[in-house]
Amino acid sequence: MSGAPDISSDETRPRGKQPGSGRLRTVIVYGILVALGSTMVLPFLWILGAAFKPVGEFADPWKLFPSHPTLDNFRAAWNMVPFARFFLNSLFIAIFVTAGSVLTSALSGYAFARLRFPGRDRIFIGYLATMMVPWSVVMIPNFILLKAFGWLDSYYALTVPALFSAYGTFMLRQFFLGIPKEYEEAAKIDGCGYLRIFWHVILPLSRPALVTLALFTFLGHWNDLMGPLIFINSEDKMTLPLGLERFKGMYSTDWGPLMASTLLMLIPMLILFGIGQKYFTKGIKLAVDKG
Amino acid sequence: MRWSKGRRLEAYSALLFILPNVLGFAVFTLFPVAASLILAFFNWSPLQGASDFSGTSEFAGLANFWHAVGFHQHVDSSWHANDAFFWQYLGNTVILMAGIPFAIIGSLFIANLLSRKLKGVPLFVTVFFLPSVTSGVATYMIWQILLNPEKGLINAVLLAMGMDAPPQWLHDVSWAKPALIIMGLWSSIGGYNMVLYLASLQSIPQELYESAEIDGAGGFAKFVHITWPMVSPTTFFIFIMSLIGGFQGGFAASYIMTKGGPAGSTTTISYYIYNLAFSNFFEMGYASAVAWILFLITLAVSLINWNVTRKRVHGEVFV
Amino acid sequence: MAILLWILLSADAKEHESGPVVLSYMMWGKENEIREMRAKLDEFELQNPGVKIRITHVTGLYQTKLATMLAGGIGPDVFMLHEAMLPALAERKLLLGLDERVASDPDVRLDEFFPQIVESCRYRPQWSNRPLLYRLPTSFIATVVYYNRDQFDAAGVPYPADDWTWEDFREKARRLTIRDAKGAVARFGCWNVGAWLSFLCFMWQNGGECFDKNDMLVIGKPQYLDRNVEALQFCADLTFVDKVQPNVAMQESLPHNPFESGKTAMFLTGTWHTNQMKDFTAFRWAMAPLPGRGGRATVITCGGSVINNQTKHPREAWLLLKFFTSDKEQQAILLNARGLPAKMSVARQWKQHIQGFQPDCRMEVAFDSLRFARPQPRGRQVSPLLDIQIANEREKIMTGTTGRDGIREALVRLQQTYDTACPYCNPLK
Repeated sequence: MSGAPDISSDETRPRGKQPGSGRLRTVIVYGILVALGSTMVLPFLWILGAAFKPVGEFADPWKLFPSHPTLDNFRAAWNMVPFARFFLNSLFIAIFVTAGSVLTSALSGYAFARLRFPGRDRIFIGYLATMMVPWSVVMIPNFILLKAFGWLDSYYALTVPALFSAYGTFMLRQFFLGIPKEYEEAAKIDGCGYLRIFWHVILPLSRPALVTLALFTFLGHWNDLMGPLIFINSEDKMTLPLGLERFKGMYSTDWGPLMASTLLMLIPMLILFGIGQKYFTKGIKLAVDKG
Repeated sequence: MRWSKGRRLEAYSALLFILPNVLGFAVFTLFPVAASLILAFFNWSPLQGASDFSGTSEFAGLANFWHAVGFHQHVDSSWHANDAFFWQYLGNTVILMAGIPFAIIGSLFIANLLSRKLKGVPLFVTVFFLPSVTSGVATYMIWQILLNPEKGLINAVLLAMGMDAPPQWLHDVSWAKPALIIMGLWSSIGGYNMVLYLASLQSIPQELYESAEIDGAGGFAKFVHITWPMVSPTTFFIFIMSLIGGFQGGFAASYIMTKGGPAGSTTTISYYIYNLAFSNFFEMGYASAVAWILFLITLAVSLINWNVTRKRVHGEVFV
Repeated sequence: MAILLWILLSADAKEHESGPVVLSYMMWGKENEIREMRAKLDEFELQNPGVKIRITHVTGLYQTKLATMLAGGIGPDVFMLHEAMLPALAERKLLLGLDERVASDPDVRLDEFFPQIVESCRYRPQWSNRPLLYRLPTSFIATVVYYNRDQFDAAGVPYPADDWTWEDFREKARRLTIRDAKGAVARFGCWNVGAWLSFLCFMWQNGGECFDKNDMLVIGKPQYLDRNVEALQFCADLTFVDKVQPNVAMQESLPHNPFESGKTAMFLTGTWHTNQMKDFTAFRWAMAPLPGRGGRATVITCGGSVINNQTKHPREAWLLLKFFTSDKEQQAILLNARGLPAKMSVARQWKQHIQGFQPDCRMEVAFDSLRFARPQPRGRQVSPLLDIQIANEREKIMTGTTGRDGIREALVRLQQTYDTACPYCNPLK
């Protein structure tokens, strides 16, 4: 995973429009990026190495990679918990919640940003305020509520309440505010309704923000520990983060399998990030090409 | 009806737009929040036969709140906080937020570097984002090992650099908080905030920079006069979210890495609330009261922040 | 309003169920423990047709899950419970008191069990004028010293005698500690003397006291202060003066099974550890009682599940608790050695049941320790603030924050905070 060789080759390659005076600056920028970047990667490399380490090799801090790599940890992780089942549960919940909550957040975010209606600002402040309420106190009332709905120990408990995000609404509203109004005015003149403006003008313009929010939401639910712990009892609806907890015993931790499954848990996030990244960087690329 | 047909149409459409979210919000957020506020006025804990709120025990009035923030005089006429822990943990919470400005500046700095015309940017974005992608629990455990004073990589490096007695980090009352702040910086500097800044930076019209260049502006001037004001809504958003996160935060990291120790030096208010309600004591009423005090503090700080920053933020940010 | 109505309506909706009684049993533990438990429960179901048991297995954060379930009114019928949580639950009447059942059930005779253990299964809530029985005595754990015979032999150190003293303990720990050329410790003499339970034992051995009979804190009262300070200083000195015991940072960096991996020659812990050691063959090991100083003392913890006061099936739940105390289950406890059987008749035959363990591991030490064993004091759990204060002061001592002279101050501080706590405005007491 080390990025260093790629970068240096990039750097030595002649760059078309690079002015001579910018050369030193480019080197400095790369220097900073590589230095900071390695700090970011190091612990990650550590998991990668640890996941393949046999039992005896955990103790030495200087040793990033095992001298005798083994797949035992993966095997142990796979056998210790119904890994595939937990994985699919997590995936289903995270995808469903992400799609649903980005949609409801975008709809309401648009209304809060652009449409005028009575009580708009008051409702919005209400949204903001509830974000400041600590999660641990709402847990009990939430539990009682879901029990009343008969949703305990079901996928509903982990999905439906999560479809309505105050955070998402806040974030998208902020982004929509930054979109120049002229685009909508033009559509309005063409006789578009609000829904069409929203769908054909606002959403396409907001792709970076939507993708970012989708990513946050996915990560949040993919990593969620408390929700499944509280609401789920049966093994076949368990999710992965809770599965990881099983490697931590009362008195000792099975580090090897824990690291192996942490590594496996990273994969969907990395894939999603890989896909989403196009959108983060597309704009940057555009800027580069323009320059 | 004084409103024009257009205004009414707009209002009705808006209603439809916000309906799904507001409905879900009311049921799954507003109701539990209101319920927890009611709890704060009772000495409620799960009692015999209480399968819902019907079994609440005695009304406590403001006693729960008073216990958290009040003081009392002992017979020897010395004054004592009713709950000394509340104050200690509030202090911890605030100190642990010291990393926020650094995290914001760092995120903007990196986003700024990454939005240059360079090759390999996607690779770097991935690299910087990695810490936030790794599961929180996993990250904390890795850092716990990195920070170990005897066998951890960090002290190994410090020793190699010639430091005689590197800190005991998580095992030292005065170094545990800095250790958590450093870890927080590591995990947040290239994370969501950087991506938000990237999205924000790329939406700045290139023309602004071009015309500034024509006027002969240097890099720093461009940053101060164009970039900073143009990203200010994002900064504001990040700052508010960090403050809220900071006041409510500290549970997961402390729970996994220090269990709130040593000697309570990394216990935050939210950890305290969790302890009160769920770890051995079941003081849900008192926990709710502490949570609501925390809420009021967060709200007050956010409001002050909002009023101070509003005038300096570019564009229509708030209402 | 509609939502509130819904809650009220649905609360008692599921009354009429036919078919077998389904009991829910909540437990923690690793996968193999779940499998063992399932096998046991299968047998219970065979013996009791018409009762099915559903296991809820909680991984991590057990208290959180239990608290939420109880608060939501769907707590498990029977569940495992940490000793530290018992007072909070008993005070809130969430646990079924078993005294009446015991009185009316001729199958259960409490005099079959070690009296000290029966004692530790009782707790007197503040709303009751006498102690109530909350667990049926099933198993117990006593704090003892495990030692590595091979390392003792190699160092030429005699094995601990049953009446050994603190000074013997320190002397052996010193001689068993191995330092490399740079002064770094390659093997520690002892381990875990800084835990709360061992603090407690050392204070008791020295004639000190932490709580009085009414569960009030007396750790810093003049009549006990000197003795308590002396005891804790002995514990802390092992780490900071003699350096025969790892400090917290070293503990974290060493393997999670320091005794089994030979990193420490003596290990002070509960007898649950025999479960880890029973199939262990890398070296010879044995148990010794805690060393004494004037007095002898150890602390015992009672195992066994508890019954939810809200259960709809108290009769079946009671059958299950009884099942756990049957001779066969008591023998199984000996075999897996996570605890020790509470029934005296089974305990007396321990030698017949643990074949395969190392023959001279001196299991009798655990039973002999009962002579001077005391249950965990409950005063600590009654007030969350006190619990946190004690934990904090213990950490300050064992991280070296207090320093050698600071221990007395720490105990005085603890007592002062306790005595000056607001008597009328504290909703937690």
